[in-house]
Order: sequence, then C-alpha cells, then structure tokens
Amino acid sequence: MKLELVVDDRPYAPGDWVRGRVEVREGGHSRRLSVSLLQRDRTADYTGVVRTIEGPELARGDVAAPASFEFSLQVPADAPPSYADSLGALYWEIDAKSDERGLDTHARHAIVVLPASR
Amino acid sequence: MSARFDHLPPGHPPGRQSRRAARTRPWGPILLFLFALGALGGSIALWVGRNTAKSKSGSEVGAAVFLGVAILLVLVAIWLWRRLFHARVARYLDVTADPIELRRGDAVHATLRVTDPSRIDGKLQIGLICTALHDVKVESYDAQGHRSERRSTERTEVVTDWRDVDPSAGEQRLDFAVPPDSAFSYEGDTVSWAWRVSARVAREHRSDPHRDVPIWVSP
Repeated sequence: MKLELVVDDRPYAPGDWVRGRVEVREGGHSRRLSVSLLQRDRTADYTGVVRTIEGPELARGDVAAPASFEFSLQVPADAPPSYADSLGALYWEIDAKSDERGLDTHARHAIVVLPASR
Repeated sequence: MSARFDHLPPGHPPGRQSRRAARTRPWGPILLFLFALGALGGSIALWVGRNTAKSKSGSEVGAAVFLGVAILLVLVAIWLWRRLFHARVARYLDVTADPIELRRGDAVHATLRVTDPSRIDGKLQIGLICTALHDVKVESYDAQGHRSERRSTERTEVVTDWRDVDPSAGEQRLDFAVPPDSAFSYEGDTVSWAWRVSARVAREHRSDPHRDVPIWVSP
C-alpha cells in the first residue's frame, strides 16, 4: 500500500476547514482507510501527540489503485498556533492511515496554523 | 495551585509532560534513606549483641559509627529532597503580577514589595521569564559498558528580562512587555513553555532566593 496526501498548502486559522484528498498510489490489503488531524509537538529527541481530531472513514476493506478519496477536517476553534524555537516545536499534521495487519501505512502532511485573530 | 505544578497559574491544568515529570520518583533521597535505615539496623544489631560479642567496646564503637552514618545519610537525604522539591522561596519578597492572563505583545505590571530589607544579601531583581521545558534523552553506561536511556525534562530559560531594583525604595512597580513573536504558554507532551514574573536576590556562588508568580500568555 502506498498513500499520498494532497492538501492545499496555505496557513489555516482556528475554525478553518482543511480540505484535501488521499491518493492511493499502490493498492493492497487494508481494514480501514481514515484521516485525522493531529496536534503534535517535538524536541530533538522525542515526538508526541497532544490531541487527535478524528476525521471521516474514507474506505473499509481492501483498496485498489488508483483511487482518490476527498476529505475535510476542521481546525479546532481553540487550536494553538504552530510554533517552533531551538528547543521544541508545536505543529499540526494531517495523518492518512491505512489500518493493516502488522504495520499500518501512513501518509502525513504538516499544516501551518495561525494564531486566532484578536 | 499545586506545588507540583507551580509553573501554572490557577485554572490551567497540567499537560502530559508536566504530569509525567511530576510522577518521577525522587530515587536519590529514597535510596539514601534506605541506606540510612540499613545503617541504623546495623547499629542496633551491634548494640544489642555487644554483650555476646568478642569485643564489647568494639561493638559499641561500631554501633556508634553506624548510628553516625545513619544520621548523616538522613541529613543528606533531607538536604537533597529540599533541593529537588523545595526551591528556596524568598518569603520576604512580595510579588504580584497584573494581569496574570494576557496575550503576546501585551504588558504585565509587576509590583514588588520587600517586607524585610535586612534579608537582601545580593542584587535584588525583578523579571519576566519564559522557561522551555523540553524532553531530552539521557544516556548512561554502567560499569560493564551497557548503555541505558531515560527520558528527562530539562528547563531552559528562553526569555529573560531581569531588572535591578533598589531594596530600600519601598513598593516598586515595573512594566514588562511580552515579545510578540515569543513562545506562548503551552502544556504539551514533549515540550512546554511557562511564563512567570519573578523576583530574586542574585548571589554569587550561591542559590538565588526567589518568589514567582506564574502567568498565562495566550498566542
């Protein structure tokens, strides 16, 4: 299985909708294909997930290529903005996941979230 | 405000990283205390068995030495415990911050009143500080060369704006601006940023007694 995420590369404000599609480049066995929006942070040594906003289930069962699944996910109204300094970073990421036996297949795409307007 | 989460103002719950760091056991003081118990046990055993020992005076001296070691270990454990969990708080410094909830680019008004100027034995300062709490991998090797890793949360001050103040000037009010492009208050999983207004007595080669007021800076 090989997935690719196509997302509009623009900054998003809290409350905005992120629209995109998951392109299936190589098909394969899958139990479930889904997409989610993750609030993550990282340091040089560790990466963590702070919040997961589950998106819609895109497909159930094996997926054949080529295929394309559109999705939309809303950035939470209280989303902290993307931020990074030399010690760590807070960032947002779209994660397309094919739930499979063994290791799952992922396609990830970071998005920039802006501060809420005053 | 819990003492374990004293970097957070009221109404802001700790994040995963803060909760994880608070769960860390203070193994150093615990081990020292256990060794002290062992030494105390040895001392009691020597004292109780002194009448049946080959050398009564030797047992008594041994019991005294073990007791001394036990007392020393307990004192070191207490000192380490206080150093780890009870930073030196300067109760003679009365600090307030207004507001304690603000946004980047806003100003915070800090007020300092010294209730006992005779305690100031260094440079009195008040400041606005942002600390990054960031997780790092710490590697260590045992005597056999086996490598082990543990996760540790380190503190690094990323914004510091310290200003000297006159201890004899009575109540003093200073304004600090939060840089608009700086970090905001954040409680995360691997990194957090915490803001505070702090007053300290900066002393050379000694710890700085201080008093902190945590504030929350929104993006």
